Amino acid sequence: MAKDKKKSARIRLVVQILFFLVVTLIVTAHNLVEIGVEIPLIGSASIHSICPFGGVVSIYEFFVSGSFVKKIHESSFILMAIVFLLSLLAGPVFCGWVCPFGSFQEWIAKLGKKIFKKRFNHFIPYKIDKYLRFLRYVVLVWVIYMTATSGQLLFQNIDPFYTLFNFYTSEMAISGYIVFGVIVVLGFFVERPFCKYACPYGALLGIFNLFRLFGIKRNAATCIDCKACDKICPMNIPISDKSTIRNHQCITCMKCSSEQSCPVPDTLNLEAGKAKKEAKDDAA
Amino acid sequence: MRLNSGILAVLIISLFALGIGGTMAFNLWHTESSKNPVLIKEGEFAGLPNPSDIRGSYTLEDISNAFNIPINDLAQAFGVSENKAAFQVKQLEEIYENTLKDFEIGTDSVRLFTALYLGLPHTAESTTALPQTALDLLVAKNKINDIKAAEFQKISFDLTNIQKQDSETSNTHDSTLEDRTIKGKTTFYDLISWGVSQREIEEVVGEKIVSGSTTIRDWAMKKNLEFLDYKEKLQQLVDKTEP
Ligand code: SF4
Ligand code: SF4
Repeated sequence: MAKDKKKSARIRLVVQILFFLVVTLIVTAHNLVEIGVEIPLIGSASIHSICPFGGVVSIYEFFVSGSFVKKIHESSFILMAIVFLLSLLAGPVFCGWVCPFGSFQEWIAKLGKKIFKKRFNHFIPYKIDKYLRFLRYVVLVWVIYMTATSGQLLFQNIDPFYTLFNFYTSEMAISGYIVFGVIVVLGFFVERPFCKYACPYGALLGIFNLFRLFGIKRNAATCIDCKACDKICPMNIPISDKSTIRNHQCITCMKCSSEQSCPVPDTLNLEAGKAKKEAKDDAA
Repeated sequence: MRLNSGILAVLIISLFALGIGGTMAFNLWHTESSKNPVLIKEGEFAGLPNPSDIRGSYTLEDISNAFNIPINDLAQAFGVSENKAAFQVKQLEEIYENTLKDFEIGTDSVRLFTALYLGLPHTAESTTALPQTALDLLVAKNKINDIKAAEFQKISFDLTNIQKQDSETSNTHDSTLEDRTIKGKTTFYDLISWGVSQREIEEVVGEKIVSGSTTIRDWAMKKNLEFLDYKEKLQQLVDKTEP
């Protein structure tokens, strides 16, 4: 059983590492091409062209003038469509499984947990925290507004995701290093600080949580109210009192599920259709 | 219906693979620039492609397609002789890096040239220069009038012998001639930039000026005429204008 639980966690880690490596490889190849070194067989897309969020900020420009924001290309639109489809199915799996910057923050969190043990990720009372989480929508509106009006990727100058892969290039702005540094430090105290409070793309994908097809569902009939799920959730979502998680911050990491943390089999799952409790209620 | 981690992993990877692979198969997957410049949004030229949106990754072919300018004109203007279609305009920056003292030949030069060629607006950067060949082509094709030609002569440089010359002397219009005296290096453009009209010059030389960047001496030698005679007559025109 414990073995199965470990295996389930490992599957996600493998996918995360895979995407992290692919992005690193592609961006490095791009930066090398810029200085005249070519790695055979690897495409040389810039990080902008493989960032699905680029597609989002470009929508406005695309419809107004039929062109993309500078540095954004068709590939961003295609990735955006893929990510939207995935989100429609199972919520922001992009955040929990694909986004290399999300993975990077998760790996820092492993160190934070070693240092602060149980206190890690519980420094801010959730009562206040849950409102702070809406900050990322402010960022989202600001980024889309700024990009749409200027036609430039202004977010690049502070985007920690961009910094992570381009810190050694001359395109970096000093503000990028500062924001990146702040997030790394915060990452020792809070899990995924950028995802929680600032990521505009996470904000957008978070909305899919409200109507995703496959949701995290709790079977109240078998739940023993141990609250193991509440404790493990990296996004601090209260799970044990809900039948379906509709919280905008869920990243479908599956950590809470019966596959991984919930001690009762078949109680917390990623499922389509109504939660079992609700189904029973309906029948009654 | 339930999804576990394994199925979710397969779903994620296959959706990415199918999405990217599928669009690649239909040639829709482009990680390079879309090569479609934005359109001018307002004013007299609304709806036309905007030269200011030309990016460094555009090739001469992209520009030719987007703006309907013959590729050979672009190549001639910027001295590209090989592999014209695939030449990316940002390469100009590398080729002419450090060759001009206070000016640069690069992507913005191509924007400026395209704008002048089509009579579209573009505000060039203060350091942007044009190759002399570009200005000559604009004049030869009647894309700009002589007043404009004189104006842009100030930022046009002969790049044909750039390797042999340093940036000071590469300037074909002899801007060091503060005293406005016609010398061997003085071109017809210099005269225009000193305030002599093209018509006046043409009256003296008795023919249409085809290439403003030709020095008066070279022109005279080619025609088997005495440079000094013309020098004197043209100098009188120069002296008549206010400095
Ligand atoms: S632990 Fe559960 S509720 Fe929390 S983010 Fe992961 S999948 Fe969502
Ligand atoms: S971990 Fe499972 S059993 Fe425990 S509270 Fe959460 S859903 Fe209920």
